[in-house]
Amino acid sequence: MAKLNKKDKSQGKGPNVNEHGVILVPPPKSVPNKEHMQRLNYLFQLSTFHTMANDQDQNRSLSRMYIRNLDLIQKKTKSALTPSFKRQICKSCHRVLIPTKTMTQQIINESKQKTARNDVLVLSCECGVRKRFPVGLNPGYQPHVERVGPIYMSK
Amino acid sequence: MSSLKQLQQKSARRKQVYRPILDNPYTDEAHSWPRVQDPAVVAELTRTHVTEVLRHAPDALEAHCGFNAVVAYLQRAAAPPAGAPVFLFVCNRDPVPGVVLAQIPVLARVARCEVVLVPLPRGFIAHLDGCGGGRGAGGHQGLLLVVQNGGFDPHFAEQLRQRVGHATRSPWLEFVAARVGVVPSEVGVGRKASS
Repeated sequence: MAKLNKKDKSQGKGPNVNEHGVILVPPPKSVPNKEHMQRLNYLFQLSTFHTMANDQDQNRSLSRMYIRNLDLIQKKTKSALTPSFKRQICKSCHRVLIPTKTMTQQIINESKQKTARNDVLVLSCECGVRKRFPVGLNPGYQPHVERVGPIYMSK
Repeated sequence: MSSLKQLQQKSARRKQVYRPILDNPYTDEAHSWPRVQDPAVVAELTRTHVTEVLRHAPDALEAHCGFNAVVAYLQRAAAPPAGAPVFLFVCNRDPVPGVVLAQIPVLARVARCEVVLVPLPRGFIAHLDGCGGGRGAGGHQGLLLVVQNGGFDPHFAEQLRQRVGHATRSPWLEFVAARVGVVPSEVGVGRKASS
């Protein structure tokens, strides 16, 4: 009787496949090359600190240099950053985008009808580069990371 | 002869892959949005003392509704002796685009005046519809700023301050450990690649 039970269990243990035919596997217990991530995190915080604390340097050279390093390391190590992380960095001048300090933000509507569908959020960096997000087009839009929700790794 | 397991593996097109990703250290819930004690009480107080008042008498309070008005006010606000403290009510649980609200907690911290950020519970956005902001319903993007001046009830302000816990005041002065997470591969990508 006990043997039969064991057999039943082994038969029902097949791979967990979802409706799209993808084999689902449990999340890993650790992240490879975590040091790269920690280094990127440190550089970002350092750059933010210098942007906030050092008002004397109008060009924010030190802060921008740290973000430039972050960008290079991220590309070299092929590390992924979340969209919210990338939205806070100017791709052109490598400034950290902080309201009242390095950027201004505004919702504009360039359509004739002024419908909510044509609302565009514009983040303007000090350097003149503008990031445009058509927020009115799909207000419920979430990137894949936010939809799934990352599983944070413990130290 | 192949077992059921082998057949299933053959029919399965792709194995799920987890990709490590680094999150913004300053978007953490604990660091950005303050925690509210008794959210239902805060919502009820806000409804009776702010939104209902503004609906019936728009000039009773100095209020700014909508993203552009709130951001413009906070960017040009004066330092404490001249600039009065403000209460910023945000419907961050309602379906407002995340990118619109992402910079609001940072803006509340870097503004020169004192800003009390009050996150409101889910479903409160409907109460803001009659408070201005232009273009009728939804024109306010879930944001309402009220200046604490003569018309504002001081008892209500005290109640709000007691219930809204302040988040980390200057998070850039404290080192935050890396928020490393993993996200499973997108199903659509797998299907696209296999087909």
